[in-house]
Amino acid sequence: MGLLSDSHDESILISKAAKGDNNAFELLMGTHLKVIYNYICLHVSGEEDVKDIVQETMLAVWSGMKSFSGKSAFRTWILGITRRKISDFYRRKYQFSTVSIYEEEASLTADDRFDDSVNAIDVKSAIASLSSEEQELVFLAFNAELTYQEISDIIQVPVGTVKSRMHNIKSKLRKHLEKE
Amino acid sequence: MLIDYLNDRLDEAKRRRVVAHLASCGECRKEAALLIRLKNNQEMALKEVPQDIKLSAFDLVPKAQPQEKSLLAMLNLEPVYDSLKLVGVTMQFMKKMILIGGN
Repeated sequence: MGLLSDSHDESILISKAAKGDNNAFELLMGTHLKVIYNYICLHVSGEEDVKDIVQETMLAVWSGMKSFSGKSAFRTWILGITRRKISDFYRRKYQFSTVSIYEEEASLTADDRFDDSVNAIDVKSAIASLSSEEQELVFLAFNAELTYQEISDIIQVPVGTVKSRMHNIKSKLRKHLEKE
Repeated sequence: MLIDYLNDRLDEAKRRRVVAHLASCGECRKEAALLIRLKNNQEMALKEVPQDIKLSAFDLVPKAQPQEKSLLAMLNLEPVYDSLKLVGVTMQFMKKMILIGGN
């Protein structure tokens, strides 16, 4: 069974939440909270900052419930909002900088960078050796269980680019795992 | 399509096509094995949401205001009021019928 909720129950909760039902909203978002939290943790390291972004994401989703058209899957929509809240965080934090999310992450996590010569090669290590952008793609495909089109909508790159990045990721992982 | 198949995102017809293809394609079966390993690892790597974040996640979301109840609702007299209204309507109707009958 995938991580996505039963679509019939979810659409009932969406409808109630859009009419202002707080309980329905909290039940609905409760099923997505783990993925949202982990997605934020991919990009942001401080516990308090993560907490703030979770709260801001919930507020933004609540505010936008009435305008959710159902054209995209609900999870795609809320992860798009989450990503924008992460960007807002970095924009506030580095007000006069034009650095992107990924460049900033690279500088913040440089000391934790994976070292092939010390750690055992396994799937976890193989993924840790991927770039931040690649790790995000793996997360969206396997944890958020999004299609390539949905990933393309969230990260704003053409679906062909998503496919070729995923192809490269699989090649890298295959090479790492064949060394075992 | 293999990833969508593993994530249970395909309709029945596409699922059957993938299963049929995997039965006859060794390369794709190897690819599927890699993706399953990757998916299992990703699922295990998901962190639990800390309790304080769970409890505070909705703190900024405005709560709906409780609706003000009428005095009748508060005293639980609404059913009585509704019955009296019905009696009143019935009597009005009977009055009209008597007047029509008289003419």
